[in-house]
Amino acid sequence: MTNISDATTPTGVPGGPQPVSLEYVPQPGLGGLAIKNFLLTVITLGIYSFWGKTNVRRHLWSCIHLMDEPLEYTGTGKELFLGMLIVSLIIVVPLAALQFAIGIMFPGDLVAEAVAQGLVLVVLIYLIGVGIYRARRYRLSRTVWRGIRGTLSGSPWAYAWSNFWMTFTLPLSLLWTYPWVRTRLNSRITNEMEFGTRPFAFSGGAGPLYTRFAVLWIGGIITLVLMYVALSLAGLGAVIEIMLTDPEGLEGTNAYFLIGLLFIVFLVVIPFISLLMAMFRAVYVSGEMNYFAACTSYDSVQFKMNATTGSLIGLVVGNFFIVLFTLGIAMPFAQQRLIRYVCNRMTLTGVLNVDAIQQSQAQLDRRGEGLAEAFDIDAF
Amino acid sequence: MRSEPSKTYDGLFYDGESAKAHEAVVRCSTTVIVVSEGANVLATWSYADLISPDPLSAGRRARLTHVSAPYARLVVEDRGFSECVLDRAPQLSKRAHNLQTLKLVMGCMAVAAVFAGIAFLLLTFAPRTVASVMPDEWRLSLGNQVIKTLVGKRKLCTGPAGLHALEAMRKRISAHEANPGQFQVLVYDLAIVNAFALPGGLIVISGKLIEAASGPEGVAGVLAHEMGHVIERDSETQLVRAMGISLLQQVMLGGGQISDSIGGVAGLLALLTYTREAERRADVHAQRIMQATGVQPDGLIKFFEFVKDKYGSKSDDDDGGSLLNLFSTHPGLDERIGKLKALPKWPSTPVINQTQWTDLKSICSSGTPKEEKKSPDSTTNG
Ligand SMILES: [Zn+2]
Repeated sequence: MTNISDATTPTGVPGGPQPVSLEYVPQPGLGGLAIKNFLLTVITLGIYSFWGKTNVRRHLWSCIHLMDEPLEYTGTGKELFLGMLIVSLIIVVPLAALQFAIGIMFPGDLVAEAVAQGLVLVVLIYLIGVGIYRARRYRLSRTVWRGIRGTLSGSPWAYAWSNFWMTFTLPLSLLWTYPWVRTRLNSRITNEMEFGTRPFAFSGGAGPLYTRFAVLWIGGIITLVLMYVALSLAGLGAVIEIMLTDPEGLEGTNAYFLIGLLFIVFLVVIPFISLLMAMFRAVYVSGEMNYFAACTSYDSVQFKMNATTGSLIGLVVGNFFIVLFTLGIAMPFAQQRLIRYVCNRMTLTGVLNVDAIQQSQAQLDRRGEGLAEAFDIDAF
Repeated sequence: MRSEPSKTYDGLFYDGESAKAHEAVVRCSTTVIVVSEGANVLATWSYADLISPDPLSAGRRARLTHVSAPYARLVVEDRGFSECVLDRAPQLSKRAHNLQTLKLVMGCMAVAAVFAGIAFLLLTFAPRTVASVMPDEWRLSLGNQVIKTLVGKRKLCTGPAGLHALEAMRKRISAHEANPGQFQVLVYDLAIVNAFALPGGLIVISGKLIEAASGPEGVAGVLAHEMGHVIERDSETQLVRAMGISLLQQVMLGGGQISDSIGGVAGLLALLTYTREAERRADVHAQRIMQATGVQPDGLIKFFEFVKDKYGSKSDDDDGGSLLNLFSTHPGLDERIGKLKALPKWPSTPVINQTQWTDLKSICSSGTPKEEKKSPDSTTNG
């Protein structure tokens, strides 16, 4: 018995379980990278963006230190570029051509157009699932730590099917299946995640998410009503002003009043309502992040997340303005903030027998995440 | 340089098979890097095939891998090591890295140029092919849709006697065409002197054009020219091209709403203008048709001269919108008149008789059928 285990244990430094830690270690150079990417993307009519994105990922990945050893992103711009190219050729162009043909065959026929759009929408909803799964698999397989890469062991098509039919439960249930859909899909993809040859595990149902979801749902309704009332009042105010000053038209209207009204609507009412909505969302999303982390484990390592509503609002609002005011040039900083947020608030507990992790035998995707790119699935 | 062959450094080695860290001794020899752990040699890496994910700078931590073992990682903190490696593997330097970026950017620019070229060729040549293989029903429904947006609330002229005369003219001048049934001539009460060839063989003339013509030969000449556009499928080609452009825009701007191209295309009808080349081809058809059916070109010449007097012969400027693409994009009127005048005379007979001409002129004015003369359908007048 002892003989057998001796024979399979790698020689050299005695391994054994070690405590795990996760840390974000910032490194200089992101600003230069952002500017370089922007300039080169402009002069290559957008084509460089795939390489630029890859460089940013490489930088950000290398700031994530797991047990004092950085992650490494090994994807290439070429893979992303080819992925996008192929998706354009086999999906975007045929779908566009379909609509084009219908436009020629039944010009002005609203029913035919609606049918065509519905058809395309159905295909797209299915493909979004494929895109999410493939993108996740690509990134896992391009994430290397101590020379070991990750993967997803399941089938993108099966995942996409679940994603597809679950999506249709959302409108039917007035969104009340949302936490359930999220949990089922997240559970599925996490259970199929592997690092090296070992799987991640997710266990837990959607139940605990429903309190916060109720807050989001009711908050959403309140926000919608507020928005409606505010815009109606503004409209009413404008109409009354016009009627009082000049029933014939805009001629004698107090322009300052109308401009002031517009300012109030766009600079006060709409931002306030958006912030309110962001708050309700953050209540749910922070709870979901914490819960999903608590459901997740790898070997004997347990994940734990400490996201709070306030900090999440700060993150999202900050990122919104960073991207808005720099016209997207500072996007890498928004991504950095997100990754740092997760790293700083994520705790890994337990010990990991690192030496026992063997290299993944899964086949590598040859191309990048074209579909996810086409649908603009996430920020990275 | 402190790169004697015997110099060794301490490093961490991951073999790419397991996550285990090997505390290794790294020797930077003249031809290879040797990584060993105790008596075990873990890797022997040639300098030429070394890879550094990030450019290596002298005096900084080195993180290397090798073509032969793409998941193996060698991490050496000792600053001397990176200097030693850089001496022998200059491809890992910042400078080489920058050079590669430069090459990449040039490559990207070349690809962008190729894409632009393909798009250009696709929009130049593909539309005519698509237009020529499009089934007739599609073309006709496209043409009907275009008419709807084109004429708006303007009414179709349906004076019965005028219709008879029009049909007589159509039959006469399409008699020698391969498929005379494809031409369908409609007169609309439009506000301007104009004529369009639309998809599916539909030809729309404005009532004003008939009024402006001094005789039936002028109208017949314009008709023959529009028939030329029909035969060449010019309007289908233009529409397919316009749709292609909007499609390309949508693909480039990332998926999005691909539909409602028809609405956009209908708006593009204002751009239903052909290249000069297409216009010359249509003119050639017109001459051939008039010659084959024995129709005098003089009427068309007179008509052109009338238009020239009235609107000037500015053929390129858009004339404050008072005119009409029929003349604004066509070869200069002088040139066209000159070409027609230079033609040898051919035997001809009036395209329709005088009574029919009177009827045709009243096609829009008589919503109520006036004295309906029983003009035989195809009076080959003589
Ligand atoms: Zn023409």
